[in-house]
Amino acid sequence: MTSLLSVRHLTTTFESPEGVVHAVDDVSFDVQPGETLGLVGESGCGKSVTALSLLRLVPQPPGLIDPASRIVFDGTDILDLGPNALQHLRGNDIAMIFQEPTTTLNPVLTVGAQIAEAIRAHEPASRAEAHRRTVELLDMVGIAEPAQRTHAYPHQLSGGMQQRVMIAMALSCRPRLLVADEPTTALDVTIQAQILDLLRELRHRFAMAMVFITHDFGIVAGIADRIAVMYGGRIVETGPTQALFDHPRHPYTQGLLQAVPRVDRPTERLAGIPGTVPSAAHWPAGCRFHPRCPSRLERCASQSPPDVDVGGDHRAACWLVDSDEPT
Amino acid sequence: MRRWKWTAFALGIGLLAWRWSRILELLTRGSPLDRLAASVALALPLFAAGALAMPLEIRNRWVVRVAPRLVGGRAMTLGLVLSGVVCAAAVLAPVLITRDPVAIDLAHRLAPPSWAHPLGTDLAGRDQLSRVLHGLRTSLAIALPAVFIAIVIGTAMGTTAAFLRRLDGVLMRVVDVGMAFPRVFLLLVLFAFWRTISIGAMTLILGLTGWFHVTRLVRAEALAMRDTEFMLAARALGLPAWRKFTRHVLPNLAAPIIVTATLGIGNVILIESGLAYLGVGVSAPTPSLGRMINVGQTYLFTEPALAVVPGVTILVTVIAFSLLGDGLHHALNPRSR
Amino acid sequence: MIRFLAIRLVQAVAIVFLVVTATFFLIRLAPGDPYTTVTDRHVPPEVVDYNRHLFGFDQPIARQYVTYLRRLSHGDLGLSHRTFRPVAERIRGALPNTILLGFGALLVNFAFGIAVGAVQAARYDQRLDHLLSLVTLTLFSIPAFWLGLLAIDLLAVNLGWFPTGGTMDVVTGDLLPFGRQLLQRLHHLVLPALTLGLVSGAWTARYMRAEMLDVLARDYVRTAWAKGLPPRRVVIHHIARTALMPIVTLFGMFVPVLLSGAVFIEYVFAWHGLGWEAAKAVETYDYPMITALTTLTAAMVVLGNLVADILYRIADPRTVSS
Repeated sequence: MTSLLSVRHLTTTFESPEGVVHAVDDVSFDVQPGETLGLVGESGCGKSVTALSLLRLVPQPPGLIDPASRIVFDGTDILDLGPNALQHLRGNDIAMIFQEPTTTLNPVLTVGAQIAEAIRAHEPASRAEAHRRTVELLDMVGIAEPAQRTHAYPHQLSGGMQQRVMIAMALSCRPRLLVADEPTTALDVTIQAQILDLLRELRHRFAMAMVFITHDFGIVAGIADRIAVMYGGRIVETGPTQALFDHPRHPYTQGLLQAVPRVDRPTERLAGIPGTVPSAAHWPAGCRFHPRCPSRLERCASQSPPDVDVGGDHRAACWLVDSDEPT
Repeated sequence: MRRWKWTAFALGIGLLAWRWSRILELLTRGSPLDRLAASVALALPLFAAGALAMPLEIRNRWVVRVAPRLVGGRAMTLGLVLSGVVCAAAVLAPVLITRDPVAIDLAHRLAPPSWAHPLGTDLAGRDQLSRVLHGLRTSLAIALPAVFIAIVIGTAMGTTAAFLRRLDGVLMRVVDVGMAFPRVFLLLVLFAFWRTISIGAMTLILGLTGWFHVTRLVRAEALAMRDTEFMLAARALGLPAWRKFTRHVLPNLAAPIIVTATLGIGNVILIESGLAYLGVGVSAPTPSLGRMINVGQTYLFTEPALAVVPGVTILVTVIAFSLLGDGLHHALNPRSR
Repeated sequence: MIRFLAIRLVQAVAIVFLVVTATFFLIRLAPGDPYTTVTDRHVPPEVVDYNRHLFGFDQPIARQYVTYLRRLSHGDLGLSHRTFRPVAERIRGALPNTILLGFGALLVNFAFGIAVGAVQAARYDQRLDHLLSLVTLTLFSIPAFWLGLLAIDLLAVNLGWFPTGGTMDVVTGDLLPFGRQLLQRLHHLVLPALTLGLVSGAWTARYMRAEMLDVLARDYVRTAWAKGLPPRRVVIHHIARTALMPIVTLFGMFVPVLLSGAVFIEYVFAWHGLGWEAAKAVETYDYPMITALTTLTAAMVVLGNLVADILYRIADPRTVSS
């Protein structure tokens, strides 16, 4: 099966007073049709920039997507598209939802207007038709009294409802891929669960693929088919969700999983990963995780480990994996 | 850095040597402003010498603390240099120029620029350059203290309104009324029946009418600060009110106040020259750029220089202060564009 | 909304009342006296006393205040010292001219300011941006009356494109049919409105540039692009609309600025409006005229602020909801 989205050697850099920052450094992954890929990592690892790069939403100065990168969606390289084709792609074939609905929705336009304009941008619909579909969409995302709600302004809605509106807006043109950049991070825990349920239901209904970005392993476990773990602008491990949880191969993944509090284990001290995420302007040499890695070898400080296949579509980039020892 | 100080020192000594007799004359027989000019001329080389003589460590400590905040970029350096030049020219005018701005010489009326008269002469044969510099001196002598007065009053009122809630309502009503008057009309009302207007009077009135918007600004900033977490922390620590004010509030107010003050100087110069143009300015014989334009306008079509030269002087001066204000704004607010 | 309107209206009236009182006392407390400063020549004391009595200056100040208020409520603004005609008469003639100039200047101001600010934001930190910054810097550092003089010299005298001043052509003005009269007045309006508008427009341009840069960086603009909206829609509905909203509040700020500037511009261009009358009044020590003009212009400022507040409320839905 050919991948719906195939990213190869994506590199996005930024000019900063401290020099060129490699926010995303040689990242590659695939997303199959209907599949959900979870992109996990701590803040500062480059996952948001990756998401923005997919739709070329990175501001061009000071940002720059390396010309050697390839982002192939359904056979065409997004990076080669002209402005018209790009506009047609966004919102229509690939849609995106963001983290903070309060700032990502326009405060002076009604919710209904914002959804309707997305519809009318891609499909020949009359105003009445667009309005009708807007009401349908609002109903579909679980907003009560959808017809009245179309006239509401974003600040009149709760955070959870705003996010639902975001989702409705994104799905209005039936995209085949949804990029969700930490859609639940800014919400209360109970609302988080509702939004996740909604996303799960909708992706089945629309047979939609999804790239779900988060820092929370608990959340990603419930929604992703495959997971890619990012650190230092690179992907350090990829694999099917269950396999990754059962047998994490990269020390960073192991560290992250150990840090998740478990209901089934007796209360014990939470294990953290020592050290802090380095600044993107000064990535460590060799393996980027090596300063914080409990099992580092000599070569980790100078040589960057290659991506190694450990079987079952599970890959990790670590020198330890060569020796095939479950650590 | 050292190079500049040597240059300043050399310039100062040079100035002294070239004009030593004039400086003595001004010191002993001049008006207060003349004496100020002479003192500054004397002080320049002394100051530079002192700065050179200072031990390296003390000097560097000061520089290291202040300089990084002043990385203003081109606008600010240009503004700083320009306003520096303007102020220096104005203050040192009597030292540099021996030609009396009010000396009438009808034999040489309306002369074109020459070595003796770099900017020509006016209707009565008076040296234009000298007149313009003295006019500039008047403008600055009015604008700088006036802005200072306005800032002091405005800051006091603004912080009082923010921190003493009982007085807030009253003070803000006063500000509302004050800001309702278009400034020029208010000034006209106050000056309407004066026979002669002195520099001091002009300064005072301009200062007393200019504090309203400063109050609004300071109050807004102070209010924002009052409710911040660090103020809460200060209160929790039981710091006395005075301490809280000087250590925490004032330094944060400094940035917007400095910017407002600098831009205010330019604004006051424009207003003052406008009033002088209308005839409501400092009275003769004190030279005034606005009045020069008024006199020159009748001859605009035949001898444009009479009106253009003072106008350009005002323009350059205000540009200098505006650039400085802009530069300071960007230096002190790193996030703004 | 109605409640808000009512509250603001009451506030405005209160401020105007305070303004009236303040003007009254300011002018009486200001140094100088209309009778001793007016003339060099020796005026017989009986004449001075008679005039004092005629204008009511020999009464105790409290009584003067009450009389002043009572007359004001009847629309009687007193007699001009200069012409001995009612002040209200001259003001009625001058007010429309100033309003015309004000609107003209405001039009130039916003057209110039919004266009320049938007262009600067679109070409941020490029040569055009820097060039335009230089232009706006010069415009707001230039004395408006001087710019006016230069404009007259260049455009009216040397090129002859515009009249050198006045509101109408003195000779033929009254003889023309209404349509032509209107055109002629507009022709005379161009230079003064342009001068006043450009000088105040520099502020608008800087403000607009900062606003646009701020809005361009906002998240919802990114969402608009992510939705695949056509560029024109994003620029107009998402960027421009939100950037222009605060410009409405500038309208409140510009009323006092334009009125102040009008004093100089009207004087330079002999445009017979409130500013011109004020300049003339100061020249001739016309007490009642100055009082009336100051009160009126302050009231106009208050009104302007009220209108700006209302407009902003209408434009920004965030302020409306309870």
